[in-house]
Amino acid sequence: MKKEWDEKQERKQKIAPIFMSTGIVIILLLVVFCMFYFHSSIMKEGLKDSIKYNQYDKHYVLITGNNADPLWDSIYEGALEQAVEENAYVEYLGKNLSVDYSINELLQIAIDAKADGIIVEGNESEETTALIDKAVTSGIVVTTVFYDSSQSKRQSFVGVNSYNLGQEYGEQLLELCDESTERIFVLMDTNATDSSQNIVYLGIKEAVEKIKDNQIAIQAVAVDNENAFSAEESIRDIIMDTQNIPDIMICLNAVNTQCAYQAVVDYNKVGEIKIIGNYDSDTILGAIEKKIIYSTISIDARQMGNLSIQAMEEYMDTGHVSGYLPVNTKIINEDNVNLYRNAKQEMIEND
Amino acid sequence: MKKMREVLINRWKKLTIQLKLTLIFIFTSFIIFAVMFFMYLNINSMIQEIDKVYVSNVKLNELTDSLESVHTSMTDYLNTKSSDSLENYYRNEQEFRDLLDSLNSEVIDNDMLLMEKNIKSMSEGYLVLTNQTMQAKRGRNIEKYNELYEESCGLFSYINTFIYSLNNEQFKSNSNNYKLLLVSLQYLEVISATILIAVTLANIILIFLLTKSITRPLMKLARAANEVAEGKLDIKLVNVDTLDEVGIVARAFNKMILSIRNYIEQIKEKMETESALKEKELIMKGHLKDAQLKYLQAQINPHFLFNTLNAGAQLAMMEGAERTCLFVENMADFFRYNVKKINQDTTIKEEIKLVDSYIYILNVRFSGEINYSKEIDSSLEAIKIPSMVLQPIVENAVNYGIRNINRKGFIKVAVFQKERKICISVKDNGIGMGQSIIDRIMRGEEKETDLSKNSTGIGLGNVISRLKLYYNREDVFSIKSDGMNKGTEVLLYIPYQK
Repeated sequence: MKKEWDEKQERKQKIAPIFMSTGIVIILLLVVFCMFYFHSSIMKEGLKDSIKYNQYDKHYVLITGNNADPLWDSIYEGALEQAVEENAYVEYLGKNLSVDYSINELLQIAIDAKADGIIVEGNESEETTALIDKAVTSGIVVTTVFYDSSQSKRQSFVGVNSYNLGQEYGEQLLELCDESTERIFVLMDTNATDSSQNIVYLGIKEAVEKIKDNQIAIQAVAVDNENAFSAEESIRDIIMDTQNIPDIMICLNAVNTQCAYQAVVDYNKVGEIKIIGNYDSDTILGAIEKKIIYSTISIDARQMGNLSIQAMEEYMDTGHVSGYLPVNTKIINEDNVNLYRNAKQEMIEND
Repeated sequence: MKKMREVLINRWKKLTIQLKLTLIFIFTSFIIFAVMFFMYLNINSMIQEIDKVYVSNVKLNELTDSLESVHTSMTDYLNTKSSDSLENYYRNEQEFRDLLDSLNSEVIDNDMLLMEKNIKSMSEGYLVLTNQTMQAKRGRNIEKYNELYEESCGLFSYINTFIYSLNNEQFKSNSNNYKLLLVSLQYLEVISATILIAVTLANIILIFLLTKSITRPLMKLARAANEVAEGKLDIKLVNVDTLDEVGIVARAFNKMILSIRNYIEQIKEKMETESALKEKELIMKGHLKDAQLKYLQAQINPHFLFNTLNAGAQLAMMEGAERTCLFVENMADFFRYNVKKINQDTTIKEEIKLVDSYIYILNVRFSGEINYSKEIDSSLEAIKIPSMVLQPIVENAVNYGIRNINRKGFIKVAVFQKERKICISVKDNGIGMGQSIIDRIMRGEEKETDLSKNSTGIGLGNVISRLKLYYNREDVFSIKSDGMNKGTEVLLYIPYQK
């Protein structure tokens, strides 16, 4: 018994130093680990501001009249993607500002800020034309996008051929028209001053006229897009006007399309009013799947952004560039909406 | 590593308890201090980070103020054309330019930095415009300076918007950082407390173990002392290899235990030898008493008997019966010897004489059957031996050796020196004995059966034990026999002492 106790004591004596040194090592490890942990966490916090940003040679700005439109986001992404390849950076001017500046004001700012190039949603107003000219004279390359300022000295225009676009709308319309179709509204943007909408309208009208013995009344309806939310109100007004309900609505931009779709759903006019839309936002694609929107014409917005940067780069390299660069359009309807959606998803994942 | 550890352990063992305790205190305090210092550093750097968070906003506010001053002083000059305002304008312009220098001027894919670049470019443009305006004012070109003023006002408002927006953006991101920093500060507090607790616990364990290493030898010592107090002296020695105060006490204790043990050992030995001696004496006495008792049983009153025998011998002499007279004399001698010598040592010579008497008596009794011969080294006749040794052997040889044989019986007694021993041999030509009987006799197991007839009553066993006790050795006696009818030789070995 006693011997056992002695042995135990002796064993203890042998184990004690091992235990002790292990304890010390554990403490030291703990302290060192915590030291590293805190250091790294503090460094992480501290480095938040100084994350390495990339530096570029050229500074381009994108100026649009409506920076809420998802179309312009896509154009911006396309432009940025291309610009980074050319060692340039694109700023979406006005996006982060506390004041909503008009295109003209933004143009002035871009000139004052001495940007290297301006991508601008053009229009035919004199003031814009003058500002574009001023920019070009002060050595800034200007590309108009989507809408042109044809009278200005802009180096290039990247956009859809409005007449072709009209034709495509027309084709969609023909598929949709039947004997009961009486009234077609084409929703037009009031503050678009260029002629492109008119050309689109013309294209649509030509298509409608191909139908023999038609009783169809085609009508351009002005939608006020000047103030925030005004488009939505205008479209609701149209739908609530029960006397004058259209059979088919053709929307020429993304915002109008989305508004029209929402209004049709809200006022329970699904099936009664058919919509031909523009652009390919998720909402719009969803509406096509639900058969609320018949089809939409999507402009390859990214390509538009790409092309505008390419145009500017080409001009800077060679001193001249083609004055008009066409952008592809694509019709999305019930048949190919899934395909399109998957392709889009893939592209996002690749990004 | 191992060597270093050993060196350290050895060093530790050499320290005094006071020094050990001091070192333990310093060591644990150092650990706590290091941890505290590290935490203090962490919290300090964290607070510095938090301080830095809103610096960018402050800078931007300064920029706005400075821009405002430039614009105000320009407007002032345009209004009053005072030299004060001109001076103010130049000073403010310089200030503003200094502030602008700190802004980013590179194209960088961060919106805030890009805004800084825009602000810088626009501000530079703005300063060019204001300078032109001032010059136009000086040149009194009213139309031009009005136009330039308008233009600069526009630019001024743009710049202000930009700064304001940038300030907003930065505030958002700074607030985010601030929140994160606050959260991590809270984490830091929690984890600091945890580390402190852990280190404190570890310290307690460490102190416990270290002090235990000091007190363990003490405990061992106390335990050993308790055991000694309980009378257990055969405990293991206290194994303490430290050189401190406890080590000294432990070593002294060990020494004490060893010397006590030694002392006790000595006493024990002494007692043992004493008791052995006493025991021997007692046994000896017992055997003698036994022999005496047997004689007394056999000879009721030897004095009376041998006086009577003497009277008989004188009577025989007077009647002229010489042989009877010799016989009775021998008998008288025989009994007298017994009476006289039973309690004391005797010599070989006397013993032989007794045997002579005995044989004579027997030869008379059994009419000369026994041929008795002697071969004595006369120089050994004076050697002292215990009494009543030889006669029982001869008696034995007669009774068991030659009594029942048909041929003539011989008995030969020889005394001679062999090496450093004196041998007394009693040899007969009788029936001999088997080895098993010899062994039994040697072990003292054979019982003497016929005490009553023809015997003096002292058996071989008694002789053997007495000899062994007397000389305190085992090899005093041997019996040799070559087998049936080949006789027996009994040998006594007596150590030769001059």
